[in-house]
Order: sequence, then structure tokens, then C-alpha cells
Amino acid sequence: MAQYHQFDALVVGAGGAGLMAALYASKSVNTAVISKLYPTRSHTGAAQGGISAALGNMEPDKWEWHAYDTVKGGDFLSDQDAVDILCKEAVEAVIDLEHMGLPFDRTADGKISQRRFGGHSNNETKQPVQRACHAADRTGHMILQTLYQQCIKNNVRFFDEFQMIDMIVIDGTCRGVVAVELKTGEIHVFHAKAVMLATGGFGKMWKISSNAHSLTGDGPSVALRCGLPLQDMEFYQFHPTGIYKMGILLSEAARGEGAIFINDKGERFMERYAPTMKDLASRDVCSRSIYKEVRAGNGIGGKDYVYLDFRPERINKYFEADGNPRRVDAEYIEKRLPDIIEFVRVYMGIDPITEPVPIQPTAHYAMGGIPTDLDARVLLDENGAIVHGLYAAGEAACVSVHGANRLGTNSLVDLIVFGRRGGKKMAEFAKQTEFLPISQEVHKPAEAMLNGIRNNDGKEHPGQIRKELQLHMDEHVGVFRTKQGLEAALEEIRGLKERYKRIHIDDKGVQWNTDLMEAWELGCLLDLAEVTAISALARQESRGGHYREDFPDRDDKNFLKHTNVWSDNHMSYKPVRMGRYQPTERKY
Amino acid sequence: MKVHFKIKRFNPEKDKKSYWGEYDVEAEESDRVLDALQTVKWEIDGTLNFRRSCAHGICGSDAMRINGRNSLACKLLIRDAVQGGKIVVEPILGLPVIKDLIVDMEPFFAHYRAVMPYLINDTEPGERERLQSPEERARFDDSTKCILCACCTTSCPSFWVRGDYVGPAAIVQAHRFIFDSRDQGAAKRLDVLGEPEGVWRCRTVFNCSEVCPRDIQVTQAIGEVKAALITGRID
Amino acid sequence: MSMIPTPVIADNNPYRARYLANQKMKPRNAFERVAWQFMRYSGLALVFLALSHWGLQHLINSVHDLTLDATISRWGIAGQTATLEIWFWRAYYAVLLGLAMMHGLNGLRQVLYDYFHYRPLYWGFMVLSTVLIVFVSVAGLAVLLLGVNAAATGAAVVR
Repeated sequence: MAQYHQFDALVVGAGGAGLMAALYASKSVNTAVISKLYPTRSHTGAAQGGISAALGNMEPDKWEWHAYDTVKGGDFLSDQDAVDILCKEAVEAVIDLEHMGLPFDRTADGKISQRRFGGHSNNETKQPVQRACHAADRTGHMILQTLYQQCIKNNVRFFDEFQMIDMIVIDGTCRGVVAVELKTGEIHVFHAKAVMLATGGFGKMWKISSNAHSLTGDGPSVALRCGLPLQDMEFYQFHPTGIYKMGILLSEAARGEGAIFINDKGERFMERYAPTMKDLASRDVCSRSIYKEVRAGNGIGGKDYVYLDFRPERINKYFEADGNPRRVDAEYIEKRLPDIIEFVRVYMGIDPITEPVPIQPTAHYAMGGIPTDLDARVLLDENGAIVHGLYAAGEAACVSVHGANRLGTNSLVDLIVFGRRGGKKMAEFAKQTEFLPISQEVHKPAEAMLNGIRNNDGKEHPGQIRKELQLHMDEHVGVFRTKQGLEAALEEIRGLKERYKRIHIDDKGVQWNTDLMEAWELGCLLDLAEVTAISALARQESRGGHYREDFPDRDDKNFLKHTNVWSDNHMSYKPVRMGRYQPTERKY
Repeated sequence: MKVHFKIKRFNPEKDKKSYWGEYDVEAEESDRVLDALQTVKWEIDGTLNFRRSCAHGICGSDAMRINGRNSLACKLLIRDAVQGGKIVVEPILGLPVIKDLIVDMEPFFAHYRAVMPYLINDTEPGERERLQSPEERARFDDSTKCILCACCTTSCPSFWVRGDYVGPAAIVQAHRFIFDSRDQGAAKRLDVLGEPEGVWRCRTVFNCSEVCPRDIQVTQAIGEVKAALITGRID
Repeated sequence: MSMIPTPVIADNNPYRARYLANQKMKPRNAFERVAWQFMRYSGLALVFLALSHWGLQHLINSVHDLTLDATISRWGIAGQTATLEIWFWRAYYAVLLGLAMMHGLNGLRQVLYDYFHYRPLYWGFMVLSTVLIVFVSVAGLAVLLLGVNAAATGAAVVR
């Protein structure tokens, strides 16, 4: 027995993309949002640095420069028509957010304040440009709260703490989802004309990650299980500044305000790896540089980390050396970066104003995901056929705007721009279509799967399997990859998938069974880990976030294309949609 | 170091009353209490239930009473929590317990929605952003930090005694808009807060300010709302 | 850098000017607000009045001087033409009594409202408390206005 609901539009996931889509869809059709967390707990809230748009409030800026920076940041794998839309609509998106009430930081003349950020430059002078609109260092928190507030204002219907476990995809059409109400353990069927997956990323595959525990790739995994492909899974971003050993993110905004990387010798090593942008080079370049320094024996105390130096006197020294007239003091840093300063004080017990901070790269963002077109419609294959009634946006989707590496602050733009486009498209679609029939038994397979996990009497422990998965992924499918490493990882993952079949959980109950849900989520992670490793093995080049030590150069002749992979591990490729920019050497 | 955990357990499907679960955990001093709870869940007893997500004090999922004091389990470190080698963990007060450390947050969110926590401005905004000076922005900066974790509201004796008090969190959220120069709905919100279940139930106990994991000056925000109600002015 | 036309400072912010003009700020049900203000003003007054009373009785005078005759002479007997000093003390103690009783009654109301969720029980205790407090207030005021002896005579009559 399952409870049945009918909605014109259903959004799965209540982060920035999901809430934006729901807000716009609900203006004209009956919409509901299901989320396994309370909406304000979504990981959009952890985003810190800012949301980029070429407003030009601080200095001259153009959306075309933003587009070029994004394409270059993506190592030329981004679909340039999508990037154009992203950057053009970014300005409108940010103004829209401000109109909704988002409390941006302000300039002296009352406009939205913008700061420098990695990879964003003035294309003429080639110097960093102030493009990231920010609210202290809690921009994501402000965006999430503002969107949720607007949803409350517009009476959007929420089903909080409902976890999607299956999608109803029949004959290339999506007709709804099956979800578990966590509080009661009951199964619910949501019959919908249009469904959007906005479930976020899957950083929990790795041990050192900035991601929340809830980011287990539910949407992409369910899509994979329904026979849909995932795109560019080998491209995963390792953010250079995670707190050592914990993975907690210290925003790139720190470097935007002037913080620098230093090694054991106290040198600003980014000068060697990225002579122009230095510490504001794109994230993959920084992460690799850090590990190269560590390998060269320049890690702090010979260990596997370097320092991020926020000390005002050091920052000023390097501003002077760069010929930059800016100067900062302790008060300014405290005011602009209050949250990350607190993280360092609370979790490391050190004061970043007086001591340098140990950092290491942390698994952060999935450039890959569910392939979509420019209106967030999910694609069935590499030829552009769409799945009717299915949409995806946010980190779970791959449009692809971020290509092989995402620039900082572009994710929040992505959520707002494509969340909105998707929401509008869903409403349009729902208005001109009827409900497609579903059977009374449509929830049975999912229910059986859950009961299977619940009642399984194997010997394997989910916590142990997850630990091993994370260790293997960190070691072999991290910043540096090799053929042997990836093959070893693949074998391990497949071994873990076998062991997963013999899993056993302690909690046999029905209500609020987090043991069961975590075990189900582990299944999702295993599926995604496998296709990630396979895609990485097949891509014999280095591009953006995917770096092969055995193929260290970028190979545009053979690999200027997107990888599509299915759950049975077969792959196909799709050409990148080029535009104004042809691939050039990517130097910072 | 070895830490002895006493955790309040309750399974609605099996138990009539709550009971204490005792667990010995090996933990580093610099670990978070949440890390230790997850060690209990993943290595000792998988039936332990609690909400968690970001693990660094931003999402507000894991508000709990640790050694009798509300905090976020992911923000409190073992070395700051442990007392005589022991840590006691219970669900937050004032909200119905569903299972183990999970409480029903609906009453809390209902109070939040009651204060109209969204920008109310009917004038045409124009093509560009509405202007706001840095001083105007700073006026309500403190209350923008709220993550709706419920630590404050569930530490308030007035809320424990009578759950229809809107609670400090709702008042902070209303404050964020009342003192935002772009907002025009202050009167409507002050109507809600001026009712008996609104701001007047605050007895300035200060528990809220003490436990807020974001260091928001909650009592001061409530005081400013009271002042706005009395003087009829917002500045 | 020139200031752009749209004002950014609170005083000439068009949004704030608009709502201050159009909206009434004070909510319709002003009882709780007034009660809250009363508690603070009366509380402040009571601190002063009670401390002074204590100072008068124990510091300026001493506990040995606390007799019925002393009180009679301060508040006056029935039939006696009251001097300005006597009226001052009558007023002083009338205010102390009145404010203390009202302050206490309102405080009791809040406590009862907090703890008695069953309406009939709440109202029962509320009525009982009000009756007692009103009785004490009226009795006290009567003593102050009619003079102490009247009360003593009244008490003797009752006995």
C-alpha cells in the first residue's frame, strides 16, 4: 500500500536549483517539492564566496569576459552556447535575487559589492576582476534562505524529509517518483507530468570532502538505474583549500581578499605554477600545484599539506610586490571573512590572523552528472533525444557549463539560471500535456529493494564498505590518476558492490530508519563510483579536474568531447558545442 | 582518548519510555561530537538516529542537548564537551521527540512561517538592484546569520512551558526584515509579534543568546523588536 | 565620486518614508504591550519606594520604633485634620501598596497563563487571586484614608 499524490510539476531536492525551479513553476502550475532534508539544511547553504555576474559595479566588466573565463576554466570542454546563456542571464539572476531580498554586501554608493575570485579576469588586462557578488562569506546561506522565504511567500507545497528512492520512467517518459516518508517509513507515489532532479552532488565517495553527509548522488544514481546516461563523470573538482584532515571548505574568497599559499620554505609557490593569476588561478591548477609541492618535499614539515596565509602583514607584502595598491588590516579580514575565520578557530584552534592555516585539497564539486539541454531537459543519449517530462538542474546536472573544471562562484549562478529555466520549461510542458498512466504497483520494486536491505542477513557492514570505498577513491581517483590506479580502483569498487549484496543493518524498524537510508545511499555511491572510475580510465588525456599522470597533456584532437556512460558500463561520446573560443593553451 | 557516551534513546515502535544508551567510544580531542556519534552509529549500534548534514555548523540539522546545554553536535569538539570522561547527549527540549535524538520540527517551522519571513516590498524595483548603504546593511547583519537550528527556541523556558510562544528564532527572523531598509512589511510583522504569544513572552532569561551557535545577539534583537513596538519607530 | 539621485541613507529612504506614512505601527491589541511597559515603570518605582521605606524604617528609625502609635502619628487618626506631611505619607504608601499589588497581580497572571493550560483552572486561580488582591488593596486604602485608628476600632469591633 502506498500513498498517492498528483502534481503537475514535482521537484526533487530543495537546494538553490530546486527552490528556484519550484518558485517559477509554482507561478502557473500545481507544484510540489520533495526533499530528504528540511530545505534550509541543503548544501547550497554551505557555499561561501559569492555568485558571479558581470554587473560591473566596482570596475568595468562584460558578460563576454565572464563567458571566456568560464570556457577557459572549463578547459574548453564547456558547451559554449550554454556558457553564453549562463553569463548573460547571470546579471539578471543576481538582480532578481536582490529584488527577492538577498542581503548582499554593499559598496559605499549602495550597489552590490563584488570581489575578486579565482579564474575571473578582465580579458583585456588579464588581471583578476571583481565579479563575485557576495554577502560576507555566507552567500550560499543567504541565497538558500532567500529562495526558501520566497517559496513560503508563494505557498509552494513542500514534502520535507521525504527521500526519493525510485523514478517512474516508462518508454522514454518520466511519470513521477517513488519516495519514502522518513518519519513514518511509508512509501509515497508522486504522479507528475514533469519531474526535476536537483539532488546535488556526490562528494561522499571520497574521504576528504567538503560535502555534507547527505550528498550521496541520489538523483544521478536513480537516473542511472532507470537506464539513463550520466555525462562527464570523470571530471570532479578538488578544491584546494580544505581544512587539513577534515575537508571543511575555506572559501576561495580568502584568496580573493589576498590570502596566499605558502610551502615549508615560506615561498609563494603559485608564482611558479601560475605566473599571471598566481593564487587566483583556477582550482584544479591550484590543487595540482599543492600536491606537486608536497611531492617535491615542500609540504609543511615534509607532510602532505601546505599553508594558506591570511595574515594581513603578509597579504600586504605581496600586494606591494604585485604593484597592487590595496592594503588590508585585521579588522577588514575579520569583517569580510567572518565565517571561515571562525571555522579555523573552532576546528583547528588557531587564529588565522596571526598564524598560517594548514590546508589540503578536498573533494568538492561534480562537474559531471545528468546530461541536459539548455532548458534543463534530460537527454536520453548522445544524439540529443530527450526524456519527456524529466528535468535536471544544479550540481546533479551537466549542461555542460562547467566543462572539465568549474570556476568559483559559477555554481550559484548555474543553480539560479538553469533552475529558473528548468522551472519555467516544466510549467510550460505541464500546461500542454496530460498525465500519463501509471500502474498501482509502480512502487513495488522500490519497496522490495528497501525491504531487501532491511531484512538482509549478510555479514557486511555498510559503515565498513563506505570507509573502504572512500579510501580507494581518495587514493586512486583523486587529483592524480594513473591507469594502474584506476584499474585497481575499479576492481575494488566492483568487489565492494558484490559485498554490498551481503549487507546487514542493525535497525529493522520502519519509522525514521536512518540505518536503512544510509545503506541505500551507499548503494548510490557505489554505482556512481564505478561509472566515475570507468569514465576516468577511458579518458586518456588530462583536462581540467581530470589529470592522468600517464597522459599529462590535453588532447583536443581525440578528446574534445563529452563522455556518456550507462550503468552497464557502455560509453559513448558527444562533441562539445563550440562557439567563439577555440581551445588554446590554458595558462594562468 | 576513550569517552563514555550516555545517549537518550527512544524507539516509538518498541519503547514506552525513553532510556539511556551507554557507549564507549575512542575519539580524538579535536574530533567533533558528531564524529563520535557517527562512530557509535557505524561501529556499535546502527539503530541510533539523529539528523546531520554539513558537519561544520552551517546547516543547523544537528542541534542537541550536550551535557545539558544546547549546541550543534558538529560544532562542539570532544575536548570542549567531555566532562570527567563522559558526554551526555539528549534531544532538544520543548518539541515532541519522534525517535532517539530526532524531534518534530514542525511547530518550530510553523512559528517561523507565522512572522512572514520574506521581503515585503510592493514598489517597482527597477532594472538594477535596489540601493542600500553599508550602514543600512550592517543594521540587520546579525540576524541574517540565523540558520534555524532551533537551539535558541528550545533553550527558552517560556517556550518549554508554553509552546505557542513564537520563540527567539522567529523573532530574529522577523527582526532581519523589520530592520532591512528595503522592507515595507514591518507593521504586519509587528502585529504578529505584538500579540500575547509574540515578543512579550520573553522574560530576558538570555538562554537563547548563550546557546546560539552563530553568536547572534538574540536577546538584543528581541529587545529591539520590543522597542519598535513601544516607540512605534524603527531605527 | 558623485552621489547618485536615489537616496541611500535611512532618513530620506523612500521605502521607509512610504510605510511610516501609510502604516500604523502599534498593533491593535495593545494590552500585552501596555502591561509590559507597566511592569517596567512600576518595577522601577517600586524599587525606589520599597528601598526608601526600608531605609526609613530600619536605617533612619530602628526596629524598636515600629509601633502602632508611630504609624498612627504618621498616617493620622480619624477626625484629625491631616497636615501636608500626613497626606504625603498617605500618598506614598497608597502608591507603594497600589503599584505592588498591580505589579504582583500582573506577574501572577503571567505565571498562571504560562503554567495553567486548562482554561477553567486558569480562570479559577485568576479570579481568586484578583479577589484577594483587590480586597487587600481596598482595605489598605481605607486605612490610609480613614486613619489608622478607624481600622483598629474596626478590628476591636470585630473581636
